Amino acid sequence: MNSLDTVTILAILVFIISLLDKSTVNKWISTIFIKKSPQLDSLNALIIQRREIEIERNKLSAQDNYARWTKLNRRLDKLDIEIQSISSQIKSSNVTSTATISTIVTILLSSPQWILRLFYAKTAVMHLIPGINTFPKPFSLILRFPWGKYNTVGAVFWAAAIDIVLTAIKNWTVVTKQLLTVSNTNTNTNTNNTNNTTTKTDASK
Amino acid sequence: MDFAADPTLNDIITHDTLRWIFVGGKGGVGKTTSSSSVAVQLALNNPTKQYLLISTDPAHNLSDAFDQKFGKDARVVEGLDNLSCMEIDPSSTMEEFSASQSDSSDPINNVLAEVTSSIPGIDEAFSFMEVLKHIKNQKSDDETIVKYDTIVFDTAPTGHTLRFLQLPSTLEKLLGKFNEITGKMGSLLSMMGGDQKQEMFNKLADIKEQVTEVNKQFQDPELTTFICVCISEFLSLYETERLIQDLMKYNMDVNTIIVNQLLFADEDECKRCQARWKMQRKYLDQMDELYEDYHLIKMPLLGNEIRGLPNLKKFSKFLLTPYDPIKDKDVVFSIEER
Repeated sequence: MNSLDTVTILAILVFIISLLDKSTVNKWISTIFIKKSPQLDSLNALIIQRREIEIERNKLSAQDNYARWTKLNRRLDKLDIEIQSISSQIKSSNVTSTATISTIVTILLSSPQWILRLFYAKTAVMHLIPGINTFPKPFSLILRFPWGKYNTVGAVFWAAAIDIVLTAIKNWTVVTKQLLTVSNTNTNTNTNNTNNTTTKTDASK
Repeated sequence: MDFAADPTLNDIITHDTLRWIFVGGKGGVGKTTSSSSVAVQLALNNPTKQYLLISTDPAHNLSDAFDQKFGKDARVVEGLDNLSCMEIDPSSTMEEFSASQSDSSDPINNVLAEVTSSIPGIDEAFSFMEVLKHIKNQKSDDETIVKYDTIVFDTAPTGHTLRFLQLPSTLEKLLGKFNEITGKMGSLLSMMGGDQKQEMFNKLADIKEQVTEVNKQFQDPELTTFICVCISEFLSLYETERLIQDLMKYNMDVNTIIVNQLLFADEDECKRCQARWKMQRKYLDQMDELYEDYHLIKMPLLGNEIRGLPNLKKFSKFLLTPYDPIKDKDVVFSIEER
């Protein structure tokens, strides 16, 4: 695979990664971690126990079995305190792990972009033929930015160009989708209005 | 081994270190009669000690219970020299407070007085201030001030009582916040308050110190206890249980429950009385099971309103010697009408 193909694939990859919402990725990973937490297991067990006691209490007549009913209420109160304490423990440990996960996700998501910028800083993806593809010097500097050779198109410029094109396509898709939704809504409203008018006319007849 | 707690008030009567006794419960269960009876028995059994009964219930009836007029200053009960009573009237205390704060030349004081009088729970706050005053008195070297060994509180219905007991911690939080705000807005307050700022700070620091002390005393079982009063009916028991749970959350000692208005109608000819007594007994059995480590004092429903010291003495003796429906049945109709 030549450098043009490699850089193009990498640039597309970077763009796809940029489409991923960081907070969503954080949530996915956090959920995986929380699911494995032993605290969550004990919280679930307490919630199940609470539910069972609540069902048992609700079956009783408070006036006929006051002592038993109150004892169950006391157990419920005790469980509520335990549930609250474990929930807050999970929440606080979640905050710490979310911060770590968030940092890791940020590094992972932005690393392909930096790899592209650093490792391919000197790589030329195209060579300009002197005399035919000659550009004014300042423009040529942009083409080979940052450290490419004279009369070449650098990987960074090429990746940026791909990114611009893909972003334009993405924006165009979004706008088209919105326009289609608006026009569909308008059509539906008009049809409804027409139907209403027809019904009213029929009724007046 | 099963230890059932003694169904009398002996523990409290013989307790040497108790300084605060709260009597509370749902409205209409006989809190005032119970608190008056507790105070009367304390005074009768410990003649060398001085007792004060304070009503913090906005609907006072201490005067009715003793058949003697009491006001916002402590007054000795006629016929019982070591017991005094007082009724804190939140509205008049509030008026006094507003008058002391209102000064036409100082707009800040006027605003403060207005705001204070409209704060929810201000009634309880003033009752609490009264407690603070007595703490100060107990420490004072002034021999003209009567120092009470124990103060009994006839509290307002449950909700008020809990708000009253929450006050120390609420006030502590409030003062902490106030300090924080004054720290941040110090310069602005200096412009508005001038020299009064330091004075206000000193006052607040003083109150905070007293509040912290009260908090500590209220949570010390050697110094404070709470007596719950209820009747043998579902809602009353339910509210008592809630009160006990809340009191335990505040780390307050509660180990005595007075069950009032019991009919003890086993030998009675009245069918309605027997039916009601059957219902009362059902709840009493449940209470015995639930509160086995509490002093569960069962008090009879008497034939007349318990008013005046002689009647209170007759009634209150059942706090120390459990009522016997056969032996004591004459007491029921021996209450003098007032």
